[in-house]
This record gives sequence, C-alpha cells and structure tokens, in this order.
Amino acid sequence: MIAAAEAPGPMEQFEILPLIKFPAEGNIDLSFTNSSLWMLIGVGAIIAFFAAATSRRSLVPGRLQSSVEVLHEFIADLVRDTIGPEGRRFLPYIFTLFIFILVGNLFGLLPSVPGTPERFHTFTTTSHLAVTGALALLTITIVIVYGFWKNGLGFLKLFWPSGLPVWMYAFIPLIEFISFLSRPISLAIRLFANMLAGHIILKLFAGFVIALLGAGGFISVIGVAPFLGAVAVMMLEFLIAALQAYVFAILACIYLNDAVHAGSH
Amino acid sequence: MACERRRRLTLHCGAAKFRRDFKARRSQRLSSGMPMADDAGKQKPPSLDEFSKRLNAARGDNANAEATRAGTGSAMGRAFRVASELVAALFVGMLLGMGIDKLTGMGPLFLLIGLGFGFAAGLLNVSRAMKEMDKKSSGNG
Repeated sequence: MIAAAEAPGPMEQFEILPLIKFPAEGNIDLSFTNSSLWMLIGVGAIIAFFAAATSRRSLVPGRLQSSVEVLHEFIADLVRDTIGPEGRRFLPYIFTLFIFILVGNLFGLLPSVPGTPERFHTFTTTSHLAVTGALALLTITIVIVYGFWKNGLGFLKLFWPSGLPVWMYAFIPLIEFISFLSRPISLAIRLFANMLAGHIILKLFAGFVIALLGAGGFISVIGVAPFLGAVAVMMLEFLIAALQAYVFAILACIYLNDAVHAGSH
Repeated sequence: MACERRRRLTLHCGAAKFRRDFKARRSQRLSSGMPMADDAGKQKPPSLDEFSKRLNAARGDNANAEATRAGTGSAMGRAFRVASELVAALFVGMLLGMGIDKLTGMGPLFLLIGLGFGFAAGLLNVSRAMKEMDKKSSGNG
C-alpha cells in the first residue's frame, strides 16, 4: 500500500513531459509533448467519429448519424440565434472550437492505463493557459480582422457608442477599449481555471482516499467519505466539461456578432 | 381517357397513373389483411413536411423542461462567468497602467488610474453579461 507521503500530489497531472525531443530554437522548445499527444488523440477521435457517422448518409438516420446531426443542429441554432443569418459562415469555426474543447475536456476525465509511464497518462489539454489562450487569441483575431474587413473603420464605432452626453466621451472609449481587450483574457482564463480547479479537487479527494486507506484499521473506513466525494465531483466535472465548451462557443459567437454588426451600434 | 386527348401532359398523366396504380395496389394489400410496417391506418405515405410537423409537436413538450434544466444547471457557470469578466478587465487595466508607468516613469500614478478604468470596464462587462443572461432566460421561459 502506498504511504501518503509517496502518493503523487494533485499538481503532477498538469506536468508537461516531452515525448519526442526536438532541438530547442533559442527560447522556443518545439518538443512533441504529452499535451500534443492528447490533442492529436482528440482530433483523431473527432475525425474518426465524424467519418464513421457520415459514411452512410441516410434520410432516416441511425444512432451515430443522429448524434452528429443533433450536435450540428445544436451549434447551428446557437450561431443563428446569436449572430443571425450572416453567422452561417462562422459555423465551421464555432463547431470546430466547440468539438475540440469538448473532446479535450472529456478526454481529460478518462482514467489512465495503470502501469504505463507517467508521460502516457491522461492529460487535459484545456487545463493549460497556453492552449485556451491560443484558442481565445485566434477567436479575437478573427473578430478584429473580420470586423475591419466588413465595416472598415466603422468597426471602431464599437468603442464609440452613440447617444451619450458629450462629456462622457472623455473616458467611455477607454473603458470600452479595456473591456474589449479583456474579452480574450476572460475567455481563456475561464476555461483553463475551470478545468484546473476541477481536476485538482478530483485528485485531492482521490489522494485522501489513499491516505486514509494507508492509515489502516478503523480510520480506513472513513475513506468511504472522500471516495463518495470524488464520485460526486467526477459527475460535476462531466457537466462542467460540456458546459465550458458551450460557454466558450457562445461567447465566441457573441464577440463575432459585434464584428458583424459593429456599424449598427 | 383524358390522357390521349391532351398529349402535352403525358408526363403528368404518367405520374397520375402511377399514383393511381400505387393506391390501388396498396388498398388491395390493406383489404387483404396484410399488415403494414408502422402506419397501417394512413391512406397516403407520410410526407416529410407532415413528419417534421409531428416531430415539432412532439418536441414542443420537452423544450421547456430542457430550458429550465439548463438554467439551473449552469448557475455556477454563470457565477464564474461574471467573476472572470470582472477580474479580466481589472487585469487589463492594471497591465495598461503598469505599461504606461514604465514608459513615463511616473511611479504608481497610472497603475492606480488603470485600475480605476479596469474596474469600470469590468462593471461594464458584468452588466453586459447579466443582460445577455436575462435575455436568454426570458426568451426560453
């Protein structure tokens, strides 16, 4: 039985371990890491799932096909409700975003194969600010580029709301500007913090179980309590995994809506 | 029959004939007591429009239940969203202030101003987020 002191801490799951080392260029390390591996597994699973679901397209869908259709309809409705008919061109992006985050969140909840070396353990890619930050930056870049492409300099009306008393224009644009800059940050931090916190709590509960069992005797009976807690947190994590992917997608839609309709503010 | 007289409508008559034949064959099958797969009582095959109408009718009952469940289930998500909106704007204001401080060397002056503006922007974010949530929940309920 593992003694409590030797049990791995709750932060160990977030360690980035290189699998294939590439020579570092200056400060940039391009090694293929466990994070890359799990992104690759996620993308591979998504492609395999959609390929299998759309291989036999029939009018009356089977189980696989209808699950994909429900997913598609869900996101298509979301995009249509938030952006309007013009949002159709963003559907592929939002859909990819949603599926990638959803699978990243859910695959992080899979158990690791016992006995494998640590670098092959299950890894939650979305629990790193680098990943969520990249997704958020990509989203906001699309918003800025599309906004200027569509509205020209009219996109700047976003920072210049109409119908205010004149003296308020002294500081409202600055506040709006800060508010705009904060969008990708809040987008990235929310997803990353949710996944990080959830996984830490989960592993803490699991660690309690091991520690209490290790104590032996009557005390090990108390280990049932954190075990039940871990089960409950696990169920909550499944909810959060889906919810955060949805929140990321809907906020991306809301920000894109600003870019599409910036002129009409 | 009418078909021989109006030659231009041969195609149409062909379709009509096919339909007649089909109906005749089916009524024959129905009367002979052969069971049909699912909708034995129906006279014509269910069209897609009719199917989607029935589907929507069946869905109408669940839509409200799903909406309320999503509303209560995401209470924590909503709280988290509001908190992160506020903190992110504060963070941006603070960074901007520190940046200007570094450029001008004016000590913590712009940091404090930046924090003030960041807080204002955070409140703006929060009020917008709340407005969206209100719109969504009233739209569903």
